[in-house]
Amino acid sequence: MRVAIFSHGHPKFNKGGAEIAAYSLFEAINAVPGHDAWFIARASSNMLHLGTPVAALSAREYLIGGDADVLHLSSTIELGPKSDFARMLRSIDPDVIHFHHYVNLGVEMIHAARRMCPRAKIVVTLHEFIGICSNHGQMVKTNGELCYRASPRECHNCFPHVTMENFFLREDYVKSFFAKVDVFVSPSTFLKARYVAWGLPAEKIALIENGIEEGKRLPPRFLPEGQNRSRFAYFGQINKFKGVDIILEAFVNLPKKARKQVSLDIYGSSLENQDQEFRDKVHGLLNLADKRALGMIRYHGAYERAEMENLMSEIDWVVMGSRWWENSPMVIQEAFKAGRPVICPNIGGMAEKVQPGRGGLNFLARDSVSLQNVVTSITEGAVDYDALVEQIPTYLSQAECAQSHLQLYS
Amino acid sequence: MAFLKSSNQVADTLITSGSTDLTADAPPFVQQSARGGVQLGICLDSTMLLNRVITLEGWAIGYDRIEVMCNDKRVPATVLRMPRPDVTEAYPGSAAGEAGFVIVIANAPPGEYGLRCTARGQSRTFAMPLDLDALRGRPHLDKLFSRIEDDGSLVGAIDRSFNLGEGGLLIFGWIIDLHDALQSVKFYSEAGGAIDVTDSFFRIPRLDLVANLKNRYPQVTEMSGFVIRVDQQLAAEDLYGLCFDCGDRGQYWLGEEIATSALPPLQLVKDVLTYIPNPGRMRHSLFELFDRILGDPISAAVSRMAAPKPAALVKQFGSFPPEVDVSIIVPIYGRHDFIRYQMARFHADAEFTRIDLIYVIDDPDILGPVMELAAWVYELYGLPFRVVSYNRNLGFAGANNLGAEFATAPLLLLLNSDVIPQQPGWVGSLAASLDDAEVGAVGPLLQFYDGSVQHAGMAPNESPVYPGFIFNGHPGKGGHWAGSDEPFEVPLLTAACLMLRTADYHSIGGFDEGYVIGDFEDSDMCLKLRHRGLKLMLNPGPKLYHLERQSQNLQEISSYRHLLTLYNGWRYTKKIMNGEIANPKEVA
Repeated sequence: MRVAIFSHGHPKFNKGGAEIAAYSLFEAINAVPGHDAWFIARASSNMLHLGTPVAALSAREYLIGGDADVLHLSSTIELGPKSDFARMLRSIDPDVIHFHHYVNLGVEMIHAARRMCPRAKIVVTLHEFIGICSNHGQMVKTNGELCYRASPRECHNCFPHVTMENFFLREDYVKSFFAKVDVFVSPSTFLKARYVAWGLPAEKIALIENGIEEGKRLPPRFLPEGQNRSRFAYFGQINKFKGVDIILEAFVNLPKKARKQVSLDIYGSSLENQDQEFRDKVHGLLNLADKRALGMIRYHGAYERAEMENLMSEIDWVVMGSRWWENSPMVIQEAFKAGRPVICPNIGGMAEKVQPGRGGLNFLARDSVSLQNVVTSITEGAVDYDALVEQIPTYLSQAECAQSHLQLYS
Repeated sequence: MAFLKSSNQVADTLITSGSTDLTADAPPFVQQSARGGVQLGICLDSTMLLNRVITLEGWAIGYDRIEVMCNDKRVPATVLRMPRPDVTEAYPGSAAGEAGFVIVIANAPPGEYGLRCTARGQSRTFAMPLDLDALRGRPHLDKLFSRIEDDGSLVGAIDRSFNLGEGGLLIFGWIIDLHDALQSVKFYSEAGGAIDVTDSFFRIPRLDLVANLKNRYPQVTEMSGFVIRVDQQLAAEDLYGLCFDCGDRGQYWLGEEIATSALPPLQLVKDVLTYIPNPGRMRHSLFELFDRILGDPISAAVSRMAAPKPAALVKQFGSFPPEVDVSIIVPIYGRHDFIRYQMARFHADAEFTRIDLIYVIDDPDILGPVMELAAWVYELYGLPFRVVSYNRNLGFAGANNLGAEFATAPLLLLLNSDVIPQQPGWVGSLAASLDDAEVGAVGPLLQFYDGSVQHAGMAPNESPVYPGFIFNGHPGKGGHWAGSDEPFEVPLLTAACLMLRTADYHSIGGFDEGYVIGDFEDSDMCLKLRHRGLKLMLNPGPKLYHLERQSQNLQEISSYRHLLTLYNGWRYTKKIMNGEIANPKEVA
């Protein structure tokens, strides 16, 4: 089977979870005998050649142009039968065209793919809610509230400069292309449910969890005499949506006794890219933490995926603070692989993957006091850590994920 | 300065004594000295009466004081003296000095006038018969101002006048008639003489006058504004005057130059309508305003637009379908990205392989972007269509009429760019309604984006807020559609999406282009079809979204666009009343 995988970015240049998932799938399919995959990643025009939106990185990897913004999702490159896009696609001659995302690429590419390769199966993976929500696809209102259901009226309230009619047109336009998709892939039932409520037919959305690199479950951290399971860590991007500030607030305000027992390691990047207000808030909380209990919180900055196993071996818990729903966070799968329970907000994709007792513990989303209570209950010995570890679900390997996709393709 | 009367006349004249009348026609009175030089002299060059002010111009030599008498009593007057070299030259040796005078008599009462002239202690009174009535009849247009303030009787101004060519002149201004004495208004021009415009003097509200002048003139009311229509073609740059006759309280003159009418008609109409100061305060009389004052001049201006059709360019994308059932005309004005959204639905509808789709660019400013987008959507979908363009903005009616000239199919579908189909097959469903020869036109159910009704047929609507106008109402608008899919007859249809036979469209002359920019031409066309005994059907089987522009809210008249809608409404109403088109109120 010949599979063309489109991604909204190349992980060489953009290390987002969706780009990595798309590239992993590309590699895993190529590893299966009898199957061939191509990887076509969108790149900004400064990374492309003059006079063509197509640039081959190798026989199997391409860059493709396009600047489809979140509001319009409309492709900016030529997609006609004589276009470079069409020639590239026809030369691959795929049996399956898998759009691992549609943002940046543009939804019209789905039609162009269908037209150029009429016999190919068209697959689209859903990540966040970009087709539904113009606020970075987060389904969080611009005033910060969680959004339960989008509509032109509500979207207009979030973006008063965009009329209700224009939000309607956006929805109608995206749906006109989604109608040409044979099957969608969602890594969570939560995400699927949101797209079904929006109008996609449930039977056209298959559930396949994100695959991660295979690895062994680690034993629980060695616990010296007299210590308890009080080493926590955060992994991921540092921005408002991820709610690192909520986690910091919870730890800074722990009772004095608990502060002496716990540690929190922050492994994350892009704090420097956040707005001044958010940076000041995070730095303020880190300084405050040092005043209240020196060394309780350690900020490490960016990490490589390969370091993950080592980092996880030194901690007891993975903690998340996301303000938005999340879909199927990779960090949860990584924690499950390493045998570390996860403490996360009780909403969306996080609540789906982690339930109290099965995979970890939940706290009230957006509530640092609730997280503080969970941490205190751990330091006071009210949580049976070993029982939690026993109940950690398995993860999906890249090879298994590729197999699931190959089944879906055929 | 007046020219000196003929020197021959002066030289030959020798009057040494006796009373004489001073008039502008009479020769100078001159008294020679014993040595032969002129010792005393006086002459009146001109007399003028304007707004109860008498102005006398002339010259005098030898007299060191001049006073104005009326009925043998001195009246207050301003006497200004100035050099008159011509006089000095004509009477060499005289003590001419500042010979010239201008005498201004404000609030001049009626009576017997004279000038009392004093030289070296000796006075003499010259009778000066002033026929005030005769003076009134002769306006000095070059002496008029556009503003007067006589706090005894009348305060007012001309603010602006619009020259509408064949449509005549519209004059906007205001007057505060302090004693409610105004009896008539006359218009004077150099070429056209006098016209009584009392009947086309129309009061309009001016909130600014009330706000600014109430303290000085407690009599001021909101209706102190006016607009006057002069139904006469006038030469640009000529002068005109307005005479407000307040009977015994006198006549008051305002004047101005007639503007050129070089503006494009639409701009002129826009300027006129924009100038109406507080239309929201006169909804009750707007029909009358159009009927008596504005309607005909605007119609005359607009008729100039109908001038020769622009040459159109036709660009064919793809190859024209071998057989076509329906020609679809979609005018594009301003916003053009609707093409993208419509084509996303059209290309997925198999019926479009037999459709002659024509986009008409009625906006020269967006030609480039539209052609680029058209090429892009053709490349993407491969669905053939044509783009008709020309270097003008013809408005909705004109754009459709021009587009229809290129229509090749037996059926014609008029479609707005903001109408988006919900399901394929809608064109064929509409066409089926025209299988019945008695049906002249058919429209689908149009819905807002949220599914509520935008159009399920229109009906005539007379609003008590705007007495006189027949508007188009949208029964059921905004409501939930609970009807069946069975077609039913309606009084009127919108042209946002309307299908009719191409032959009928041509034989009724298409849309009436006399409606400016776009209003009422659809109901007008419906009534032309009904005039021929054809029925109008609403077919709710096919449903389309209509993202109707929200610019036509009649509750809030604040802009020229709303007044333009009302102009179109007035025109529509008149056509119905004159029997030019069917009466929508008569049940079909």
